[in-house]
Amino acid sequence: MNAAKLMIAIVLITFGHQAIASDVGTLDKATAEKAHLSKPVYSPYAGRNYPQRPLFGDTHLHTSFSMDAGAFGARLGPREAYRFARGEQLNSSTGQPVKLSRPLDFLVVADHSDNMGFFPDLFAGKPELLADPTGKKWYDMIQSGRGGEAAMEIIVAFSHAAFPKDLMYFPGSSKYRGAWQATIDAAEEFNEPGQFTAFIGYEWTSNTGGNNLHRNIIFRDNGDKANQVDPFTVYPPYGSDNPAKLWEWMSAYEQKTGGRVLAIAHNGNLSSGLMFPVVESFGQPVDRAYAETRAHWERLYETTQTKGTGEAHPILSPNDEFAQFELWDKGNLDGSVAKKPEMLEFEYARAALKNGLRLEQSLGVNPYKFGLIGSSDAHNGLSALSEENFFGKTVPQEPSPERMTKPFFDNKVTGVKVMDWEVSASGYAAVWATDNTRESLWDAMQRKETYATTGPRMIVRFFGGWDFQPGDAHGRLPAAVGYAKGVPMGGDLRAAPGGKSPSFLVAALKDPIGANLDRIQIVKGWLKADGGLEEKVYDVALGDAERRKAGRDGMVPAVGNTVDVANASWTNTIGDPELITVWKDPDFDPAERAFYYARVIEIPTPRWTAYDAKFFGVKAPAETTMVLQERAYTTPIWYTP
Amino acid sequence: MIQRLLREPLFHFLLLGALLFAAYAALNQGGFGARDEILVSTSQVEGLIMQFERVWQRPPTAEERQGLIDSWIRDEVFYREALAMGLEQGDPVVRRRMSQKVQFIVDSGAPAAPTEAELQAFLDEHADKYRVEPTYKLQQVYFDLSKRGADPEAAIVAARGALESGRAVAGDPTMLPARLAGDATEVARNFGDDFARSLRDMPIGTWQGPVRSGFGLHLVRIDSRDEGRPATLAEVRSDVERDLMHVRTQAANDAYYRRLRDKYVVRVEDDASPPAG
Repeated sequence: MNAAKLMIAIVLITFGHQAIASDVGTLDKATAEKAHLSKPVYSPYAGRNYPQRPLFGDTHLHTSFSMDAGAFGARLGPREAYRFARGEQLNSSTGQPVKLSRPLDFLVVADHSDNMGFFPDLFAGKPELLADPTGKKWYDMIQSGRGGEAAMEIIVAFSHAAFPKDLMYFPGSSKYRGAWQATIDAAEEFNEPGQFTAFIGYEWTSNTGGNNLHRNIIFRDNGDKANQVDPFTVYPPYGSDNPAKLWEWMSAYEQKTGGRVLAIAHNGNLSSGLMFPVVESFGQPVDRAYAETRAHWERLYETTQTKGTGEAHPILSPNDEFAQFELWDKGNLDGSVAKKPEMLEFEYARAALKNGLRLEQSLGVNPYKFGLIGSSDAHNGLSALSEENFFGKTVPQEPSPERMTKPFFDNKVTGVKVMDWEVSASGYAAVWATDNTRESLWDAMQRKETYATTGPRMIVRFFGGWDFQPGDAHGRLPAAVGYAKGVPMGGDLRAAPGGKSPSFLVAALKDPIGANLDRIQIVKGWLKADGGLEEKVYDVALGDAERRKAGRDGMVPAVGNTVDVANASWTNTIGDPELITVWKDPDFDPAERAFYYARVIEIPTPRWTAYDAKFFGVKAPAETTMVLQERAYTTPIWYTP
Repeated sequence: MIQRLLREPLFHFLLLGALLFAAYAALNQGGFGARDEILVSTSQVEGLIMQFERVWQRPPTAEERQGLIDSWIRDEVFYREALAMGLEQGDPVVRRRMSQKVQFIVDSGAPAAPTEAELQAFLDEHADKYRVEPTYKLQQVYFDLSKRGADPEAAIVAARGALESGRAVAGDPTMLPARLAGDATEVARNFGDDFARSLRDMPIGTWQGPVRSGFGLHLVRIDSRDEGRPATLAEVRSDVERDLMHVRTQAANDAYYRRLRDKYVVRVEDDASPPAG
């Protein structure tokens, strides 16, 4: 109890602002070559130092250690979460057996740092503890198998303020532990380099006024470094709700331990327009120092998750026929603030990427040069995000005949109401790492060689350069030619050679057990000379290409739809299992800053709501979305004049 | 009546109490209301500072130090008042939290480390779980059904004939690997579970198939297969140890819960669900 009291404090302390003046992370060809050996050798397979296949994982999973997850009834802790991600069958918190279709490659258990359950570890037999007669007694009880009795004595001692003062705190030592240490221990236990990566991490939960500005923090390091610090929290004086303070904490961690950490910004669609500021943030101007610091620490952006997808919004992108996808655009995290259209520009990824170009023009640094990933934000310890195996965002949303019909939140004051059926079975992070280790995965995240998927594990390659030719797509070895002639997703193109336009090699292979592909698109955003921001979506590769020609309006006919909603089934009789092409920007102006990213769209498949309706024999509410087109979004490649 | 009252022990008690209360009030500057003490002990302050240092990697300034103490007191006041008002009652978050704390304590009391013999016994008992997967070296030739139309059979038969006579066949262009070396999981990652399963009993060294995958049809030649086998303890020691400890912790927690549970008589006012143990 005292430990819990100690944790909470309410006072504001201002720390001096400390800008980190170092690289903001560009990945040009020279850097890429350092990461991926590309010296030519005869054998196409020898010396392949580039990533062979993407590693799939979840950077954002809560367990019972998160206060809210626990309150929702989550019973599975970090250990269970790692077991499940590695492919074991478990019983969920509602007692239902559950297993993934195939293991994940990595997982970050990212429990909320505020109120993360923590309790002094009095059981480790530390000398300080044994020096105290009561401590010695408890220790002996535990050692002789009477841990339960000792536990009861300890609880009684706590609750009656009879806990030995000498045992309470051990200043300057690492004995003061609890859920953070347990989180670290679980990650250490299940991390198996080469097989499965269990990252150490947590979520910093800035949520003032219900405006979601959360960040997930991922350690490159092992427990010996991570356990030298406590996670950064929101409640002052230990914490703050200002992201700039989180960046200071990250800097302090790296300085103290020599370790490395990066942050992933939570999907900004519930931030009331605060996720991607362009004028000011927490009373400070969005200036060069802000831009540098943010770009330095916030390498990735969570583009899709259970609380909706935040790539693009139809109001911002009226010409994008695929922008209407799994949107949560009615309000903020608790529905206390209703959404206004003018907020959207500062919440959605594509708009932020565009504003980043303009900020770069004026500040010299682009604060929003982030990579894209998807993750779950599930609160039940289960990273189960395929439509036919969706275990919900929270424990009450685990499969049941009623789960489609309940509200997720219903704010009577603002009238903002989101139904549980609107929760998305999404997404995963795909990372082009050379090895399945903390270091290799983290480094790939750091260089932003990542993409987001809304659940399926399609393979997506995306390279940009000046010399890609149509023939480069024929060899069907996109990586070999891609790394040799260009930069991968997350990379930079500079100084267009005279008269040339950038060309892109893009390829997608469907999920081995998933649906065929409808199309690959390239989304371009650019900054015009007059300061205006533009965007355009190009269809660059089509499934069933022979029967789909663009009409006079430039629109390609839809791929079709084989979904039988009542039976929650579909067939791979339309679309293609793989698509590959080289595309050259037909509208390139070498004087204009631009970004390009690939979007891969699957053919229509049943949404989780259709699987629910079939399995439970229930009728979904009339407005429920029952069919969707899953997709992947790559990190952009940026062009800078 | 009065005399009886004077002899009543409760009356004496109340009288004494009133006297004590008056004396206390007179001696205390606060006058009428008796005040509880909040002691911010040295170890408490040290704990606050330590917590700060672990977050910020530096000691707090004097101002920050005072802030920590002030906010601790402020919280303590609210906390005690909340308890006095019974605000913790009926709060599902507090309830869950308290329950979780007990579980933390119980979890921390780790069961004894297993002996070598116990590990071996656990491995033997769960041999299937720790089995070393078969590993393959294979080649495949891909046929894209979306390009082959209704009858891919003829092309596949022709390709198979060519392959069997030692000629190279390209198949349809694909990003799928033409050669793969890896365990069954790796095969499944690339081609799906059904494909991986169909390799289990496939003859080695000849072209077989077509085998179906999520991508289409494949002719497959397994160049070598190391059959799966039960793992030795040395190979999977850390996994076995972790899993056995997990089982023991679960059992200890369950046993502990049973002991606590036995202290209660549970009555459920619901005919449909008699109390579960």
